[in-house]
Amino acid sequence: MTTTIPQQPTPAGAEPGGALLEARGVIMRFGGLTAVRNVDLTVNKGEIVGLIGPNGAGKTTFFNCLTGLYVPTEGTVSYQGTVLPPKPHLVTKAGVARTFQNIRLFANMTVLENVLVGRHTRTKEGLLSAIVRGPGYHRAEAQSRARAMELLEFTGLADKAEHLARNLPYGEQRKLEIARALASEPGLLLLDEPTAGMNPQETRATEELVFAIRDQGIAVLVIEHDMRFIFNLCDRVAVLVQGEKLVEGSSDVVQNDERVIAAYLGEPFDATSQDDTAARETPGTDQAEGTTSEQENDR
Amino acid sequence: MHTLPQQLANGLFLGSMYGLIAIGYTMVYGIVQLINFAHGEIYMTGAFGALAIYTNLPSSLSIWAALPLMLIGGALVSVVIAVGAERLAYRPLRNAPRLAPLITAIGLSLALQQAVFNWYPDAKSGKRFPQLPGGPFHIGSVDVQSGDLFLLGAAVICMLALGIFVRSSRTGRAMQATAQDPDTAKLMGVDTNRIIIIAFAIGGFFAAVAGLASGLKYGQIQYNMGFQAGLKAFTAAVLGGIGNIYGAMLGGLVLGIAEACATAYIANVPGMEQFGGGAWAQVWAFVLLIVVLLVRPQGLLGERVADRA
Amino acid sequence: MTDLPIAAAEEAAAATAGHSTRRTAPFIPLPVTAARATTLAGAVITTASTFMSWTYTTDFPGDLTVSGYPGGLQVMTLIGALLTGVVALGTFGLKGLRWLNPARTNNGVLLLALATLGTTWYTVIDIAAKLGGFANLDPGGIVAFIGALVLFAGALALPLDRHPEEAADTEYYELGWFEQVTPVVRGYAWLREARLHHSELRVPDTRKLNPWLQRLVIVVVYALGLKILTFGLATDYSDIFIGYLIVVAIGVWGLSASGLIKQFQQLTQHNKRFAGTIGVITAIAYPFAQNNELWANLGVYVLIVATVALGLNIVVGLTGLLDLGYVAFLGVGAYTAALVSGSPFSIWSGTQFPFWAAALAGMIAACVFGVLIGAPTLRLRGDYLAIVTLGFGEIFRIVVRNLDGVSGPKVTNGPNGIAQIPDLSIFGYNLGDTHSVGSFTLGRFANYYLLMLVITVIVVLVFTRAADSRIGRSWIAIREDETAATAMGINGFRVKLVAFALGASLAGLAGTVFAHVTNSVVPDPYQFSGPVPPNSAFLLAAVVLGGMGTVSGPILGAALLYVIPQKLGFLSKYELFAFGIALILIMRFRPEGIIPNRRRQLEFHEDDAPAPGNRPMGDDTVPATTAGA
Ligand SMILES: Nc1ncnc2c1ncn2[C@@H]1O[C@H](COP(=O)(O)OP(=O)(O)O)[C@@H](O)[C@H]1O
Ligand SMILES: [Mg+2]
Repeated sequence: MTTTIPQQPTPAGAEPGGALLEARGVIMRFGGLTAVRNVDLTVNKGEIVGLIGPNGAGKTTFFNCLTGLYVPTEGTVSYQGTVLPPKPHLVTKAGVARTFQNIRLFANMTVLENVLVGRHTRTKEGLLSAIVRGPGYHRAEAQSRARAMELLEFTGLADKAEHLARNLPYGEQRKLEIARALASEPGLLLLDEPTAGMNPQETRATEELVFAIRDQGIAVLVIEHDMRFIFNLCDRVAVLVQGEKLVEGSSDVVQNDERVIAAYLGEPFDATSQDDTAARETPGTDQAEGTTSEQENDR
Repeated sequence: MHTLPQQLANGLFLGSMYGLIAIGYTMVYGIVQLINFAHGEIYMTGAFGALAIYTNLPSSLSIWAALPLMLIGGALVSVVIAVGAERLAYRPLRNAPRLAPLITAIGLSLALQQAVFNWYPDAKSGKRFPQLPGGPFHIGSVDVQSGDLFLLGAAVICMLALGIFVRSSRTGRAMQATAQDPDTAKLMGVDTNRIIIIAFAIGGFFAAVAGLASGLKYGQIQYNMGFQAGLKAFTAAVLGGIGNIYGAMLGGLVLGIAEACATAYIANVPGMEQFGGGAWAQVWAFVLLIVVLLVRPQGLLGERVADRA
Repeated sequence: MTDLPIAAAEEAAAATAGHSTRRTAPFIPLPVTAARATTLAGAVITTASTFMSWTYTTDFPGDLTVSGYPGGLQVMTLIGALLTGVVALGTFGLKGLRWLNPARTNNGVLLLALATLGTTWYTVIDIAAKLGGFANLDPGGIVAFIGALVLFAGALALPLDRHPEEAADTEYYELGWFEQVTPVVRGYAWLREARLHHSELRVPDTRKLNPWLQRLVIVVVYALGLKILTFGLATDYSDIFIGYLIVVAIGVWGLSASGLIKQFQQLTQHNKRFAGTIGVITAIAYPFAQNNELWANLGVYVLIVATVALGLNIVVGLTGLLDLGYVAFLGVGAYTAALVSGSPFSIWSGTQFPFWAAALAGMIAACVFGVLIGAPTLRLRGDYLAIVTLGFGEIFRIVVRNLDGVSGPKVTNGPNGIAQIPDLSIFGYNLGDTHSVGSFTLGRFANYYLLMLVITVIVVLVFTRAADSRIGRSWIAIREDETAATAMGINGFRVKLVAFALGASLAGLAGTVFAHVTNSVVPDPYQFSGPVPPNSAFLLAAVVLGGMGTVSGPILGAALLYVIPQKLGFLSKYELFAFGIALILIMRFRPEGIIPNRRRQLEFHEDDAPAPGNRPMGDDTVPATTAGA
């Protein structure tokens, strides 16, 4: 199942499925703060890739760059060979869907309606057909509902279809976010800390869910802090520290890399041991800091 | 009369007034994201408060002696109303959807206007306001009234004081912190409720200064003067970048000067002969706002706020 | 005529979420049987009193001197007392009477008793005040006074059901020192707990009833509604109208607390088509039931403001866009219709479009303006839209004023407006003439009422159908969380523009009729706020008062805001002041509106602990400190 991957960033196209998503040289700056530094990442068809790193490493920011929520200061993101425009709705339309670290459901819509919103890009009915309500409209609406119910079935939320999203327990809200994202029929699913706040059983169930998603031919890129989850799940893991990609490779490689351990335990790692230190600007920065200090917006 | 320097000066005076009122909008918005729709009326009540003091002073008193008392009276009225509104009407709605406090503000604005209309003696039409003696002064080719000078002076002093307060006092810094992130500021021990009250109070005080100055400038005040002025001032705040106090002042100046120049010069543009003059001033102010928002959505001095996902 | 199809959902949610209510000790400690007896006795005494004479002169409005049958304000007391007694009977668990109080709580009884007490005491005190002292009361008045007190005391001795959570601090607002020392506020806070949320009320399933019986109930209730409405409109004294308002307002509250309204909603939910049809028929019946031009006139204006408010609700309630200059779109429609109406004051006085073409022109013109305003601003943050629309509303009026041939090109005749707009003629039916239908005559306003009703029905259909569709869901999604919505593939800008343009077009459509009803268009009604209704503040208030995002809310809100000031003539001098204060109070005490969107209701009243990504104020700036960032 696991393909051994060289420690250095892999060139695209070498993998069995072929490259699905390719991020090249992504840089994101907020004023003086560089949250993502020159990150390359490739996700191949049918792969589950993990993205780990300490808090504030820039993982979520990187996701935002991939999905068009942020326009990267530099770099490109392409999906199936075409460059993605930095507009969230176009990215979703192209086939990349995501969930959010801090759950962002449509709180006052029902569970079913949330998933139906996810179907937006795969349906076309406009205002006019909604008002006229011809047979075509009813057919499309019925199809959407059927598909949405399937997804709720798949994520185990079918019996709560008519509940308000805000009334779901936390774990189910996370599942609903996944169902909503799947509704847009993505080729690649980005999950931002899908098990945060879950108990071990729920985490196990989510693991199964991610495998099931992959079995449907959907590639998954997942941010997680739960290492067991990541190493069980992922074909490949990339480590982000202070906005930079430190290591990328199979679970074993990453698990045993002392720089990763150092970064997680908060010990200063030797910057010179890195091959590509070019991106580091100020040699004097205290690298022991686990999180980048938040000094932006100093008005 | 219609020289360019004269128009610039007119715009400068008008703009200082917009700026003074805009401070109140921008500070409150910056901290609680509330469009305090009633702020125009707070400006209006400030003017009426000042007038009420003046009418009750012995007529032997010179206007110069009366001025500080009028300022205190107007400021008292405005600040009490502004703070009272925050405490009794807005604060209970702090967690309600944003439309709720907005409707409250609209209601308050109507109520204040009508209260003055109904109960201030003879306020159904314009009330005469005392004038400052002296002037017009001729500075180069520019004519300046003493009311204008008072307005400009007051605006400069107020802005400088506010700048120093926000920059170097403890409360001022807490205010900045609250504007950036109320939750974190609260965790850091800032009494956000107190900060909000102070923002309302400062806004109210500046509005009263503007009210007094506009009375002196135009020689007349009206119960409904707050709406137009409020609309302009809010426009100025948005122009300058809402939430930014320097932006509010800059936005006011830009708006005032643009308005003065448009009034004077648009008619000279071929094909636009009929669109000049005071009747169209509002329209050009609005067009300016749209253009600025298109080119620079965050306003002149505003910062782009990225939504963190 | 109910809201989005989520009632069933809500019920299910409430059932599993384990909402249960708490029965609390009564305010007056009495054994339950004694309390019930007192309540019933109070109801009987009060009822009886309305058949007596309350005062001996006919100077008091509505002639209360007659013994033998109730008149004027006595009718209000009678209705209140009867309702209280009947709903109280429903709690006794007697077989066959349980449906009188489907939720089986005393809360409704207390509120209905309060309604009775309110209107009765109001009457008695009003008599004393108007005629100079309590000496002017006949024994009947005193009996009524005491009867109502006994009734209320009895109700206070009944145990109430409350929210499962602890008392007042579960309100989304805090009770500060000001509230603590204000008895009215505290009393209100105490009372409002007596109104359980609909989701907490368990009512029997009406689907088990015979379908014909279900339909009969719907017809009867609508007919009763029309009767109550016309009764209120026909009251010829402010005094009686106030008594009526007290009974209706608190009474509806009480009926809602006893579950009767939820039960009825369930019924209409399961018979949607039928209920809708009956609703329309009832509305058509209005000019016949109230065969009087004055009331038809009132009806037209209510329909116009209600329709426009409903259009605004698409923009504000569904999509969450703050439009402060909405009335300008009504103005665009009205001016367009006026220009092509054939009025001698129009610059195109030669052209007279048929109504359908004028309506279309008005819609298109409003839509174009909507797009012109929306396109540059809808990409920006929400608050900018507020200022731009507010500015646009003002600019519209100023431009229309200026286009008089003096300050600007001659298009609109400036402040004088376009007068002498001819009446419409549709298929040869001239709406300006009086027509007779059977034994009824339909005057000019009745004709326009019926035309406007057609338009209202169209707008209601557009609203409901759009709201419950792909596009409507995307509007709501944008309102809920714009970032998440765009990340789900919604083109936020386009979808918002559609909502904005649709709202504008609907207002434009209503504007075309408005121009003809008023015979002339002038700039002044199209302002932000003012003494005459179609102004933006009024419309916004109608939407919020009625309930955002619902169909019936804005209609009800507009009707109330339009009718109540008309009936309370003595207020006219202070009308705007009262309106302003009312807005503040409504937002303070019932920000979710009279008919809360069930989603909204939850949003407003649940404590916000488990709310996902929900920060109501300042939606655009999501907190930087997210959980485990
Ligand atoms: N919109 C923004 N503006 C300014 N700084 C930001 C913004 N979004 C993220 N950051 C900063 O970027 C850094 C990386 O954050 P994030 O991507 O959320 O980290 P992670 O997801 O790895 O925990 C943090 O220092 C954060 O404060
Ligand atoms: Mg993160």
